Amino acid sequence: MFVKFILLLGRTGTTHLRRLGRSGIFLVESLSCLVFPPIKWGRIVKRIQFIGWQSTGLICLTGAFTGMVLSLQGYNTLKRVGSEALLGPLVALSLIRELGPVLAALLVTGRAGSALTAEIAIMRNNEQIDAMELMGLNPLRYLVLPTMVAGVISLTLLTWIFDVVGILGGYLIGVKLLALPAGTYFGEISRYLEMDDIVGGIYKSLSFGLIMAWICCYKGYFTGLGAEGASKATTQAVVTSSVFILIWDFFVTSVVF
Amino acid sequence: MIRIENLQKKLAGRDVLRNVTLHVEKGQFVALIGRSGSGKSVLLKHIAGLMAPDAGRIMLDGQNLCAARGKKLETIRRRYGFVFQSGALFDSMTVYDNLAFPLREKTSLGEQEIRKKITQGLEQVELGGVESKYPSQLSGGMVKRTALARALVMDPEIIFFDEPTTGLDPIIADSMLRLFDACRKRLNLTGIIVSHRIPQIFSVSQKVAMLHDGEIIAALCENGSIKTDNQILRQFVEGTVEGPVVYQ
Repeated sequence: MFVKFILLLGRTGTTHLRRLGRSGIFLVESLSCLVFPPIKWGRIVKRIQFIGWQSTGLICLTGAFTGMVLSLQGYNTLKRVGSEALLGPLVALSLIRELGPVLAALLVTGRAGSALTAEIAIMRNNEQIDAMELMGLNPLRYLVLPTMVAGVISLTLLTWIFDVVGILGGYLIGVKLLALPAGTYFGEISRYLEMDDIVGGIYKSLSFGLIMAWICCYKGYFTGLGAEGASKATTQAVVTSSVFILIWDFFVTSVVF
Repeated sequence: MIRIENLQKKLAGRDVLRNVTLHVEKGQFVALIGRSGSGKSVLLKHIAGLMAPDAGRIMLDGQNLCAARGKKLETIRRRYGFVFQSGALFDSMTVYDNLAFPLREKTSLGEQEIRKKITQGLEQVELGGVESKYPSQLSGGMVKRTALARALVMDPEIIFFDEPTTGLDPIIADSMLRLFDACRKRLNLTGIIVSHRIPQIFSVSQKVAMLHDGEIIAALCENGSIKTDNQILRQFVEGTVEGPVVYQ
């Protein structure tokens, strides 16, 4: 019984290690296409259009409401200790340091990441990736690298949009609804917000963009057969990306901030 | 031209290819037949260099395909054309762009020359007026013809067909087989066709290879019929349950 348990443990461990190794090789091989031209700029632009531009509405909407709810909750809490004037920094720092990068990444993973996995999985199952290989074309260069580059660029820009819209949402509630002076709201933000906060947020969004694109492409590229395989790959891509983003967020926060 | 020697492949614990040996001469079309799930597509993907065997080797004009990597493998693949079962056309591209894609990426041809080549390619497969259509707007037969045109546009020497007539009505399937034969003769192609269209497939093949229990049973074809005394092959071709093999 004990030996069986150890065997099972060993087998599970090696399977996961093998998967981790394969996904690592996949990442390195994909990124190495950046070093050896040609880089498919047209495909990168198309991917930015899909991952970034088409997510803008969603990011604006969720950013605004996140800022608004932060402002509402923050005002009520700060009022208890007589520090309502610090509402601006509370909203801005929460968004820039933490909520902006994380929520934007999770939203983009749900909207664009799942679609990317499904698209690549269908291409794999319909033998389009095999066809590409037989033409002597590297699918990593044509499908994966443009997605990774676009993921990094798009998520960084979307995070900025999320932050700005969120701060404006906070302003709407704090200043227009709760009658905090506008000068106090923005003045305190400029007083407490430091460059390190902004840079830390950028680091996070850059790495989240890469994680999202990497995991979603990997799951699609090595999908199981048929519709079931593709649907399983899509679910796994969204779940794994989201979990990895949150875990990585903890490590980045503990190192950067 | 192609020599497959003692090829072995195990997938999910099952010996799909046990000891496959097959020779394909230049200018010859080989019909690869066998039961569904017998490993025909797996064998084809090995020959195309899309899968690596556990043991054995595939020699193409003296070059070991299984040992080829990178540029060498790419050079070998440039000699290939592959018509997939599903057509494998890129659904985000029009028919024109599907054909132009390998030409734009792998040749130095200008757009004028590419257009000329595509027009010729589509004429070759008797398909016109579909350049601006997307694969989802084409019928099954048109998808297969487009896939053939895409395979031929790069001037391959060797062509592989993975069940190219599956899902087509008998008339279109027959016209497809005739088209393959015409292309073979006109372009002096060597090829392997995986097909279940028995006996029609024998009229466009010079050799038949049956994959049975992971091994090949081969016979020559002449005037649309096969010349063999092998009872297993005979039983399969005649499609009868009575014979040396008990089919379940």
